[in-house]
Amino acid sequence: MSEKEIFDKVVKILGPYVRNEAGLKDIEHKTNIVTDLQVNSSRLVDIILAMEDEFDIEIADEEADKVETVGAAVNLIKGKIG
Amino acid sequence: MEEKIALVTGGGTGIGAACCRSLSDAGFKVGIHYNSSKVKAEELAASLPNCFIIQGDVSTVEGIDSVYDVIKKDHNGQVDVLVNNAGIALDNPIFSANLDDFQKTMDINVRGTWYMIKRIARFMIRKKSGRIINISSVIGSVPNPTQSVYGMTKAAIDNLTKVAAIELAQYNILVNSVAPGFIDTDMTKKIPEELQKEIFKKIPLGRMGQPEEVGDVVKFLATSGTYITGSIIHVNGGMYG
Repeated sequence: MSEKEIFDKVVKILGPYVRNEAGLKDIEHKTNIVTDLQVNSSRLVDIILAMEDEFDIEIADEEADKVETVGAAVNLIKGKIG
Repeated sequence: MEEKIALVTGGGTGIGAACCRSLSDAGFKVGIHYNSSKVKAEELAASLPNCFIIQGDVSTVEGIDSVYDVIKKDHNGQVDVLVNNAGIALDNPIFSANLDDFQKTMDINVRGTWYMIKRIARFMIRKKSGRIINISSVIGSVPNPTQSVYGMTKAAIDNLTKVAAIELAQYNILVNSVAPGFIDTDMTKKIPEELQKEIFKKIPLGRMGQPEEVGDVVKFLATSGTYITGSIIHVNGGMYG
């Protein structure tokens, strides 16, 4: 799967949780999920679980804690699916 | 109908064992967790129709991670009810208590309970359903000399219950504490008879509680009580001071 495909799927997963929809227009790797997209931090676990399901991977708590930006999520997934 | 799984930490003895029996009576497949009470856990398992044993040191992150891994691998990542019962009490006046005992009690009672919720709640969040029952103590709300550390940990558990109840409500996960009073277990048998008589004077019902009387309340919270979350349910014979 290409990085672009992973990126697009991550954006799709984030969609329902984003409160700053304008932030979606300019979304890029350095976009911060909580501060830029205003995703409620209590919903990050939903996003992690959705990524596990979508990409058929396991994300440990300590890995999840480091996913602050869209790029961090993409890189984490890329590293797991090879 | 789907089989439901209840995991009871420190399930081999005392109140934990009573919780295992009551949840088994309610039809759950019961995960009896133990750390060092292997024989008692095995004896209990032999008496229950549908159960499994799981070992792990809840005072360590690795121990809890190993419990999580076994549940994920061998039980399809399913825990419908988590009873956080594992705990210790190392009683001493503040000036003779030592830091090692302080840390050990904190590691098991507080971090162990918090981290077990952090891990196991993942399974419940996926299902959008679950019950978490933390066994705290009357000592979490009633000060008792020699139990400064134990009391702190139990008060912390009650606060954790309230926070977790708020955070997990969106996933239909109910979180409550059960706060036993003076219950007839190995832990309380160590108390000298004279002191026990003094304690009875403070209990309006005038007697010790039985572990099964705590197990009954845990069963209720696990199977009913659909509008109860963030509550501290006292099971103490009226002992509030």
